[in-house]
Amino acid sequence: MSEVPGDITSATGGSIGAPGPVAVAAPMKPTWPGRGPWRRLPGPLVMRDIAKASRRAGTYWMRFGIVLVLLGVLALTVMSIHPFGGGETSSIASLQQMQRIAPGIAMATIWFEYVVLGVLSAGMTAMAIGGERRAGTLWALLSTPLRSWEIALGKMAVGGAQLLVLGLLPLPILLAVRVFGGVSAVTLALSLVVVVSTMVCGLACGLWASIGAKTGSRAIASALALLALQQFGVAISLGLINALSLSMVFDFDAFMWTTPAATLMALTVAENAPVVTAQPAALAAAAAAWNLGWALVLFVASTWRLRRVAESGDVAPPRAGKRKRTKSVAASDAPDAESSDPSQTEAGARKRRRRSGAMEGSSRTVSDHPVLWRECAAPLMSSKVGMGVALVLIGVGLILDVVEGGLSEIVLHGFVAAIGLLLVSVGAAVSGSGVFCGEREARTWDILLSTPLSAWQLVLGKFLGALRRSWLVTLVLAAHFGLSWIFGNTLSLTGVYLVLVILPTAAMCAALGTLVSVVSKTSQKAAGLTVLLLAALWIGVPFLLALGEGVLNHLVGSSSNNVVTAAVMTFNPFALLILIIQGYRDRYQTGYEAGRLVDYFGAGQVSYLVMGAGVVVYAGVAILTCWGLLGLAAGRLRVLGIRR
Amino acid sequence: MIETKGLTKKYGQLVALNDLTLDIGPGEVFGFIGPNGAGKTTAMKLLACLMKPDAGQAKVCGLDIRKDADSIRRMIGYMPDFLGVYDDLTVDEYLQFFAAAFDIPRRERGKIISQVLELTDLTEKQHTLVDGLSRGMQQRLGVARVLVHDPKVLFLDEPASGLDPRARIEMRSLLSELGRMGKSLMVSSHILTELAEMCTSIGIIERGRLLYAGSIDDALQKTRAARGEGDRIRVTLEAQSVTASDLAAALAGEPRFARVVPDGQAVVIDLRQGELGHHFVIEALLANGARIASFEPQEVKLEDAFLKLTTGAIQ
Repeated sequence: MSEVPGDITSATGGSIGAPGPVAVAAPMKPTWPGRGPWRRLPGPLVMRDIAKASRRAGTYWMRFGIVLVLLGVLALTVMSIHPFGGGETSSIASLQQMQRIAPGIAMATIWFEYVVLGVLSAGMTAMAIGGERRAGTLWALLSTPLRSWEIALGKMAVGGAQLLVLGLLPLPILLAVRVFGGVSAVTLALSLVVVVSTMVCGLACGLWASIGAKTGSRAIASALALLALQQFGVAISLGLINALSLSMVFDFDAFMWTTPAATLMALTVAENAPVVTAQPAALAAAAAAWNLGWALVLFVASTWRLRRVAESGDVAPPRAGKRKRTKSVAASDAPDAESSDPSQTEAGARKRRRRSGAMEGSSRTVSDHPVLWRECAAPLMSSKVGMGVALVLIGVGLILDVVEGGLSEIVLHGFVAAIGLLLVSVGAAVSGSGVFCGEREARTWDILLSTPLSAWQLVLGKFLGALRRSWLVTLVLAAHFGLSWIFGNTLSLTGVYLVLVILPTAAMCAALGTLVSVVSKTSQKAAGLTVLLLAALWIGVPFLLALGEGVLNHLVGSSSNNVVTAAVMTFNPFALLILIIQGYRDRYQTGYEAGRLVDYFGAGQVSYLVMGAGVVVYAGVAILTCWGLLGLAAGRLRVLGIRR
Repeated sequence: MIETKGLTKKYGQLVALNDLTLDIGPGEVFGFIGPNGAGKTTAMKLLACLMKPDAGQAKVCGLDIRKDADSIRRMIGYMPDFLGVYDDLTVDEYLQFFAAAFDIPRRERGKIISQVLELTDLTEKQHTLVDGLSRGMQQRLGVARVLVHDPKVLFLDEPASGLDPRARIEMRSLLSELGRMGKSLMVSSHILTELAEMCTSIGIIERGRLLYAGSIDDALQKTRAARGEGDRIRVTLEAQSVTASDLAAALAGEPRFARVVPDGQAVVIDLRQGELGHHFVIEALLANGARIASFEPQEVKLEDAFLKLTTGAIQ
C-alpha cells in the first residue's frame, strides 16, 4: 500500500472495511479563493454593464438629446428674460444683464436635472433584475460568489454612473452662472445635493420594482409610482388631510421637510423670499436625508427580496415558458410524470391559479374577438389580497370623504381630479406601451402574427385592454364625484366636463402607448419613451410656451399673446381640469349658475357653460388623435406583419 | 404546395437567404437542414408571410406570399422555434383563442379542440394552465395550435429542440402521423437522425444558400458517388475462424471489392461503386474459410451526406 497523502486505506492503517478511526479527507480549496466583496469593487456587474452601455449607440443619442433639449430650454429662458434691443453695451452693463438672467438659467438647469434625472434614474434600474431574469442570466449571476447586496449595489452603481455623465453635462452652465452671474454657490451646491439624492432614491425605486415586476412596462410604472409617492406622497397626504379638515392641521413647513421638490422650489425659485422659516442648508439636508433614507430602506429591502428570489429558485423568465429550466423539466417530460420543476409543484400551481385568477379544471369560453377577450380575461390585479386591500382603502377614503365633508370641498375636488387624471392617463399609457412589446418578450409575437387577425383587430383589442387597466382610479374618480353630485355640491355640468376631459385623455394616452409599443423592441424602452413623450406634451409644451411668450414679449414689445396661450392650454388636460374646478368654485362661492363668467386662460371672460365648448373641442381633438395614433399603429403592424 | 424561385432576404449587409428555389409537393414531409444561422428560420418566416422578401417569388398553396398573405395564413400553420405561451390561459382557452383568431365558428371549436388534443395526447391536460405544462407538452400544444384550423401546409421550426428523448420520439411520431394525414410539412432541424426517419425529402442550407434539395435516397446516392465507392461492410469473425489479416489478403484480389482492410477481429470491405446486393460477399467469405460472427453493412448516413454537401464535396 503506497503512502499517498489523503489515501483512506493507508491512513486507517488497514484494509477497507476493517474497524478503525474514520479518516476525514482534507477539505479542498477553490482554485481562486474569495477576495472579499470590497476588493471586488467596482465589481464585474458594473464593468460589464458599462461596457454594454458604451457600445450602444442609444446611450450617446440619449446624451445628445438631453443636451439639445437643455440648450433649447436655456435658450428660451435667456431670450425670455434678456432685455433685447437698446440699452447700454458697456462691460458693466453686460455683467449686470448677466447677473439678471443668471438665476433664471440656474433655476431652469436645476429643475431640468431634477425632472430628467429623476425620471431616468427610476427607469434606468427598473429592468436591472427583471432584465437578467428575462434574458435567463439571473441563474448564472446568482450562482457566482457575488452576494445579493453586491448585485443590488452593482446594478445601482451602473445606473448611477450613467446618470452621473448626464448630470455632469450641464455643469459648465452652472459654473458659468456662478462665475459670471453671481449666483450663490451655496444655493447651487444645496440644489445639486437635492437633485443627486433624488437620483439615488430613483435608482433604488427602480431596483425594488425590477425584482418583482413581470414586464418592463410594469417595472417602470411601479418605479415611477414609487418615486412619485416618495417625492410627493407626504405633501399630497397632508394636503388631503388639510382639505378634509377644512383647516390647516399641518402648517406649510411640515411637508417641506419631506418633499424634495418643495425644498428645491424654496432654494431656486424663492431663493431670497422668506417662504419658509428654516435655513436653506437645513432644508437641503432634510431633503437629502429623506431621499437617501428611503434609498437605503429600498436598497436593503431589494437585497432581501433578491435573496428570497435566489432561495426560492424563481429566476426563470416570467412569461417565456420554461426554456431556461429545460433540464429539470425535461427529466420528467412524460405526460403523467410529476415534474421536478419548482413551478410544477402544488404550491406553484396554486400560485399560478391565484395570479391568473383562473380556475384550474375549468375553462372560459373565448369570444369571437380573441385579442380583446384575452386582454379582458386577464386579471385586473395580480393578487386578490392586493385588490381587497385597495378596495378597502378606497372604501375607507370614501367614508372619510362623506363624514369629513369632502364631498363639498373644492380643493379636494381639484386634488382628486388632477391626481386621478395623472394616474389614469399615465397608467393607460404605460399599460399600452407594453401590449405588443409584451408579446415580443413572451415570444408569442410571431404566433400572433401568423393568425389572419387584421391589424385593426390586433390594435383595437390591445388598446381596449390597456385602457381597461385604469379601472381602479376611474372607479375612485367616479365614486368621489358621483357621491359629491348626489350628496355634495358637484354640478352635473362639472361631471360632464370631467368625463369629457379624463376619458379622451386616457384613451389618447393608451393609444400613444400602443403606437410606441408597436415600434419599440422592449417594453422598458416603450414605457420610458411613452412617459417622456407625455412629459414633453404636458410639461414641456406649457413650459416652452411660457418661455416663448416671454421671448415674444421682448421681441415685439407686446404682452397680448393670451389667445395663443389659451389655444395651447385648451389642449392641456391638466390646465383644463384646473379651469373646470376653478369655474365651479366661483359658481359655488357666488351662487351664480352655469352663466358665471370664467377667465379662460387669460383670453377673456366666458360663461361656465360656454367654457364647455373648449372642453368639447379638447375631447374631440383627443379622440381624433387617439384614432390617428391607433391608425398609425395599425399601419405599422400592416407593414410588419404583411396583413390587412 | 410550396414553390419558391430566387427567394432572397437581407438584414442590412447580411444576406440571410440567398436565391432559394424549392418545390415541395402535397403530402411531402420536407426536412430543412442546416447549422444555426443558416437561414432556415428566415425562409420559414418568409413562407409564413411574417416578413417580406427582398427579391424572388414564392407561392404557398398556389398563392403569392406578397399579394395573398391573408389567404395564405388561413391555410398554413407556423410553429416558431421557441414556443411562447400565454401563461394565464388554460390549454383549452389557449386553443380556443387561436380557433377564434382563425374565425372558426364557436359551435365547432369544442369538437375540433377535442380532436387536436387527442391527436397530440393532451386531452387530460385540457383544463391545465398552459405555463404549468412541461416543455414537451408545450411543444405538443404548439403542434395542436397549428392544427386547430386544419391547415394544408405546416411550417415547424425546430419542433423537437430542447426535448428529452422520450418527448422527441413522441414528437417524431406525431409529425409522421401528420404527414400520413396528407399535410405538407416543412420541418427544420439540425438533428439529422430525427429528420432522416420522418422526412420524404430534404433541403440542406448553409449561409443562406440552398446546397441540396431532393429525396433522402438521392442525397445518400450522391454521397456514395462522391466517395467513389459502393457499400461498406464490416464482418466480425469468430475466434476459431481464419485471422482477419489472412482473410483480407485472400479477398484482396476479388474484382468486386474495392478494398479489404483488417480491423482487429473484423475485416472492413468496401465494394466497388455500382455493386448492389451482398450475397457474393458472403459467398467469398465462406469460400475463404471465414466463420462469420456478424455481418454489418455500413450504410451511408444523412450525417455523411450533410458533411459532404456542406463542405462542397457534392455539387
